[in-house]
Amino acid sequence: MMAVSAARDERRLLGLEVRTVGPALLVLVLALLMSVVLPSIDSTTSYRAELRRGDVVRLAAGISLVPTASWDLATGSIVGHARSPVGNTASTELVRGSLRFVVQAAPFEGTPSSLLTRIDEIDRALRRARGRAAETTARYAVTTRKGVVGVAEDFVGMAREGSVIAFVFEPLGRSAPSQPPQRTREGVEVVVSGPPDALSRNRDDIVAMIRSIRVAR
Amino acid sequence: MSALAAERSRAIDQSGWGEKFRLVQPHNLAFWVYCALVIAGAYVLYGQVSIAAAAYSGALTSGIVAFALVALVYLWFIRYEDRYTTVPRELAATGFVWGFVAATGAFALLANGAVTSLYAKTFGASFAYDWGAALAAPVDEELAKGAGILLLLTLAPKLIRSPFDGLILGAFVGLGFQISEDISYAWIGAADSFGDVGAAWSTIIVRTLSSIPSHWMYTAIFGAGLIWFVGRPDVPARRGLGAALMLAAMLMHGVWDASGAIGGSSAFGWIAPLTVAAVLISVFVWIYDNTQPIEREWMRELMAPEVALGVVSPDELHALAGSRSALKSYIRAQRDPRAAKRVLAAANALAHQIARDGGAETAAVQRARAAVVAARGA
Repeated sequence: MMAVSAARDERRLLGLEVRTVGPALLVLVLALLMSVVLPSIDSTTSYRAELRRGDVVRLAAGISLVPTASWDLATGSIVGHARSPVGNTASTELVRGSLRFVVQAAPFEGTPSSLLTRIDEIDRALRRARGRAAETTARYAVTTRKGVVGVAEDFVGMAREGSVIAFVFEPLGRSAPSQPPQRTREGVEVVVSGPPDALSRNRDDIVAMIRSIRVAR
Repeated sequence: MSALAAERSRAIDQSGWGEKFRLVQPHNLAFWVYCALVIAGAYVLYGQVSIAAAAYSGALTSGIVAFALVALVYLWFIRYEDRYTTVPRELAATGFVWGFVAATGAFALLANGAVTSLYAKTFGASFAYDWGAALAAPVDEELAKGAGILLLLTLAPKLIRSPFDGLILGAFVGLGFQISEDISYAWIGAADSFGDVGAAWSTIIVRTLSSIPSHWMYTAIFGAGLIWFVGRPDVPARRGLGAALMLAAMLMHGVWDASGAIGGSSAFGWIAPLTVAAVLISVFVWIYDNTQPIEREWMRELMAPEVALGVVSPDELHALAGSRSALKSYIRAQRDPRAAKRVLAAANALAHQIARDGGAETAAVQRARAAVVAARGA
């Protein structure tokens, strides 16, 4: 009996033990499903929940942005729609077709200019690592509707171009009633990028969204 | 062959104790799949690490150093708890590498991003913000880590013989995943804070403080459940229990990830994570207590002939094959606890040598036996 079961264990197909084929293929199929099929489904799926007029996006504790209706919110939370508190460090991404509007907020003790300098240093290191080149323009001032002045520069890369804008907001908010109010200042980096023609077509939307960034009590 | 020798032989055969683990098995498809997915995972992780090394090297180095120390503590603890028919180091290392490289790079990184994005596209970003991680990660990550345990079971069927082995191996696989994820969170913490290394250290502290109810424990529970689900030659399959444990690991993982949304802005946001921690630890201890008896029985059967030979006493065998509290009470009750500890350590080494030599009376076994006698006289 033992000899029979040992022989069954060692039965081979194309040089492989038959008993090992089922579990190994199961794992392989699972890997393909998770690393190939799911990302493919995601890349061909479009957004069904467009932003509406009146929506306000929470960029970080105490900082908000009014998005242009018909853009899609890929990452982030709409005020009054999400239960989870938004902390001092948070990322938000808005998209419209091939255009990307990415906001990163985190505590930062410095000026908008020093924030942009730090962002430039990081970008240069990343571009070197990826072997990509990009040209940047001279800096210019950008002012929000509430009068907060930021610093911006434009960039031109191989496939995309766009702008990087840096603001530093005074603290006001807290992420939850149970948490202490924020003491440090909040740095906000906005990166808008896309193909040149799409950027020009949506210029007014983009400017309006940047100018709408404000401290929300 | 005497009855005791026959029982010893049966214990070695049933437990797979002393069996060596060999990863390179060209006739085993699990070996090729393991290698392919570790290479694929390493390729994906390399892409991430090269970015981190270029722009956030301080945070990356801090993460590697801090979490290497955390890993050492947990590796010691898991080995400490695996005190009977221990899992070979090579098998444990193979599991750790699967969790560290393949489960993260070849499965979870891509799947989590895709599933969370699909939730955002279908139900809106706010829904994904609240529940995306809780609905994506527990399924993707537990299946990714569980896939590793299934491959190890196919590579080493003679070594994985009880749900206790699943618990221990799952802990190694989960720990690999946890440390890999921790390191990436450390440099991502800096990346999200304009390169601030201080933010990386905040992440390191938070992740270390919350490292007990984490991946090593989820996967330990999942691993024991998987072994119960498929059954082993001397452990009949209990599909209901096995499935319940695997689902429990996913559920607890999900509740942990949804803590922010469950607690909202209330002052009671700590209730969900604390409940998860309490449930996870209770389930882990329950599995530990309920899977050890077969391991203890194997130890008793393996060492019973040594009692007959007078090498170890019945009380020493009782302590050796008993629970940790039985072991501690035995040592405490001895006139010279240090000597008793030495004798038990030598007897444990003898048990491992007997298992390694398949129960044969080899020179190495005789030396190990002499070491027990010497420890008694020292």
